[in-house]
Amino acid sequence: MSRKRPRPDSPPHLDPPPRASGAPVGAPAPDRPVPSLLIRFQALPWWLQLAACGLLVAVATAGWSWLHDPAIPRPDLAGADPLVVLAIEDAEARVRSTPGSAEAWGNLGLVLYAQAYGREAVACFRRATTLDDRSWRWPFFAAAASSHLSPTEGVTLMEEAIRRDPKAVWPRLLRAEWLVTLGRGAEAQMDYEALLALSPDHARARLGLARLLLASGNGDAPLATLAAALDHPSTRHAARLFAAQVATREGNSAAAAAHLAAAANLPADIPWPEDPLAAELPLRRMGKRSRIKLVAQMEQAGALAEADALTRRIEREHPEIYLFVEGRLQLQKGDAVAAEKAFRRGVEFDPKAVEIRFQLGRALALQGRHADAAGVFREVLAIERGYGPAWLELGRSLATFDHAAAVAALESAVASMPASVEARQELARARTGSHQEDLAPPGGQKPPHP
Amino acid sequence: MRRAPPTLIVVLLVALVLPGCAKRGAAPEWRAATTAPAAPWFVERAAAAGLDAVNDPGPEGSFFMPQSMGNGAALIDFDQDGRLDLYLLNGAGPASTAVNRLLRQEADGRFRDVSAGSGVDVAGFGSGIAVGDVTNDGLPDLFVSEYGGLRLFVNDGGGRFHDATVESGLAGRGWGSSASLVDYDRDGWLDLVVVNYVVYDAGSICYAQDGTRDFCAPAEFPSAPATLFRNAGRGAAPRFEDVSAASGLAALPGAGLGVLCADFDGDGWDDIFVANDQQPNRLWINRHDGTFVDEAVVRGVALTVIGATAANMGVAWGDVDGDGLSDLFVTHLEMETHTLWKQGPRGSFLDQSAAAGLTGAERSTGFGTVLADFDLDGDLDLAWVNGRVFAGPPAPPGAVPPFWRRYAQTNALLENDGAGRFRSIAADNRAFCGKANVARPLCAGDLDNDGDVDLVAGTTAGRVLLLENVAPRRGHWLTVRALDPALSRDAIGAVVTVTAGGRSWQRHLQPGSSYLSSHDPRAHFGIGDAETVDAVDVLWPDGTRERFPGGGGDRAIEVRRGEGAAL
Repeated sequence: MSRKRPRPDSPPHLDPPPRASGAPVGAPAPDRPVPSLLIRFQALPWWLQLAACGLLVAVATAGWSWLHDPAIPRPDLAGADPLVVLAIEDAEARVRSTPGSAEAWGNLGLVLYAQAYGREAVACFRRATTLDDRSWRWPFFAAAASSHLSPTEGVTLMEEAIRRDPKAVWPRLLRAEWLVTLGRGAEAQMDYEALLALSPDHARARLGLARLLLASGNGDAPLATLAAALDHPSTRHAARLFAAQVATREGNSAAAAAHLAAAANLPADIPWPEDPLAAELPLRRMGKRSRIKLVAQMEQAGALAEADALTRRIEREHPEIYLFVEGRLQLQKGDAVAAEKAFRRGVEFDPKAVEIRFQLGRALALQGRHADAAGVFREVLAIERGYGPAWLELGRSLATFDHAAAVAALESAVASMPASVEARQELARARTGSHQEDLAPPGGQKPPHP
Repeated sequence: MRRAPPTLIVVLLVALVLPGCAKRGAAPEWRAATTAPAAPWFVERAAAAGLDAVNDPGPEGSFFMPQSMGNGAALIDFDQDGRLDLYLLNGAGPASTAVNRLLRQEADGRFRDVSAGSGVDVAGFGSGIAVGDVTNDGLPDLFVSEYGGLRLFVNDGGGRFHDATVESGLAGRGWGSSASLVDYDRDGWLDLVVVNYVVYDAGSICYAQDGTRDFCAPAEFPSAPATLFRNAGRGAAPRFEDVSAASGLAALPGAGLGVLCADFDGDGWDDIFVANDQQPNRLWINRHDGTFVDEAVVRGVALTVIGATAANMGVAWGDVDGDGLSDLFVTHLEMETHTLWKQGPRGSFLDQSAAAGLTGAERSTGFGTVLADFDLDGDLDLAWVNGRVFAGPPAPPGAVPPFWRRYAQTNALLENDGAGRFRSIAADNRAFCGKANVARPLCAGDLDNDGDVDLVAGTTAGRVLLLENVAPRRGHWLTVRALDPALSRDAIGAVVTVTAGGRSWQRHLQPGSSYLSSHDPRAHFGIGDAETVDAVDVLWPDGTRERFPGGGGDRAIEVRRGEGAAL
């Protein structure tokens, strides 16, 4: 279950499905009053007719505008990270100031989609598509975002992206894959073939078409289709495994074994580049956790300058998170005093942040200030009673001056984290002479639950 | 008096009418055109049957990940009175008073709580259940996987079990999910396979993209490999050896959720399929020497039709298109499709979900699932239960406790057209599909012994659902219990083939499938128009085959190994 998920649309099944249509018994015939109204209308003076029609047009125009008002879609932001809310509000403000701007609507869609508000994002991308009738990106974004809610809708929306730029690769590629999933093989094959006509060595398309041909029961064609996919660093491993699958189906175990052996000698496939929508998202994820994760990813990827810039932005916009990161860094360096300082400032910014307070306790414990540390761990547990690591660290600190209380805390740690070997070992150490009992499976212990 | 030209009126009227004609959003794709409402297939009668068990997953708002994965349910005739009883797990932890519940079915069909003093009335972070007689004494025993370990309860008879976990060598530390019993080495003793989920750090705090607290995703933690325990006991004192490494299963970790032991390659030996969450599935092919090799990729069940990994969860097994080969169905997340891998040629599978009508079906996060012939017309229908693992739009108030509303979804029921193509009949089945829930286990069995398959669904923080089959009967039926007198127990792993009216149907006796569930150990057959059965063939777990005489339909029979004609 990936966390990179769009927030799903309202579950369709919550609405009762439509019943058989048909006018209810006894309903008046709909066409009877209309002729009399028309006759009466036509009996009016022409200028009155014109005025009435003008009025009707005005009403109709207003109604049309009301129905099709580009009202800014607003997700339920209850409980959302303030930074997320702020980012959405900023993007909304941009739309309000330039309601005719496709860029503004598209940006709002991206911001919403990055925070997993899929349905609202699709509405924005649709609006951007209407406002800018040239770029294929807006209908592509609308299609890609909606495909998670309804692949059929995604396929339909992608048609517009393809119409706008028939040579763009991504729209055809994604649509082909969705069509395969929907069982519309013939249409998918057309997309794949059109794409391969543009880019004959497109490895993902080759592998996709080969899979489609196999699923369609198309004999030897799958292997012949693979071609470039067998060499591309993003598909060669998967292509070899696929070839082994085809050979296995054909009963050719020698060929299957050869393909498997070839696959075993290959490194794992490099992930295929993100599609244009997915590529837009990371920097638009505004939640503080998302940002911390992004910093780590940037550092891992060697993008140190970008990571540094983002860290400074986090410091500016969310100081407690910066201080949390800073404190952990100091702990890693072994400077518990500096870490304590950072964590204390972090706690001031966010008194309810369990993790910052917990790290403060650890920093104190590392300085040998166990009584102070125990007090902080108890504060953590007052905020979140089931926080197992706090029970464990509390037990460790208490063990230096209150044996009985330490055992009780460690029992709670084991109950909260029954899979934690560390907690069991600490409890075993704390309970003199009762190691065997501690290593038994949990049961019968009465500490609180996470 | 001049009149306005008719064209002006027409233009204006058209202008007025056009907006009303504008397409206001197509109906969801899964909503096929409906006809007149059909008779429902199930009625919910938990309350009428005295089933008041409400699942306790632990305190709301802690986002303790095991809560989101659910607590198991099992059908077990623990007192061997011929009526299926229930065992239901809770997940509030060992410190809670929410003990697991054993509910005995009385002669009048009502259930009585007999947990107290049974020995299985323990509290824990309950996960999966496997039911089977591991001591070969004729009484079904109980395995429970938990977050934090495994438990084995040996059935002592008289409604009493004793905890044999430690003495049997089963003490575990991980987070087991689904479990199943299988005699993989054909020594006559049931072995145990437990799929493990992830190495969960209970101290982890996770957030959705918008910064709200939510349950963690498995990708946050290292995956765990499945565990295989060989039953090395020979009698009343079971003893299990962990052969995960020696067998090969430990070699490939995966966030395992579902498990199914069945013969996937047609060699007569049971293999082990493991449904992994967001990772390729594993198909451990039995090499007959105590070792297994993963062939999920080459046999086509590792990935979806486009070669993608998916969140594989609950598992069902059965021949959906009547071609004599069993097919594999696995439930998934709502942004994916539930997948049907059809077998053909023997031992090879292809994702044929779209052709089976499943990709247009309701989008939902599915868990427990069952393939069974609910309407006795001779083909396997499909049911699964739903409930999100991450927060989404809330279900209507009152459906579930407020905290769980953002996870609640309605269940799914699909009718097979006989050729392996399914059609949703959820609209006609409000008892099962009309109310949003956070359901996880789904068990199937003939609870009232009336010849059709009933369902039991476990719902997180909700009442257990007892769904009595009231489907209009479109045919006849046969229930087969296959026993091995030498082993004094059900022949788990046997394949029963019934021939009647020129057709044949095949069932694999394996109560451990779905998700965290254990089914009725008997094989149930809808045989359509056929009023009599020509023959009942059994492929016993040791590879021998016997034929038993047929007879009239609409009855439950027992076949005993050694009493049929050898084939």
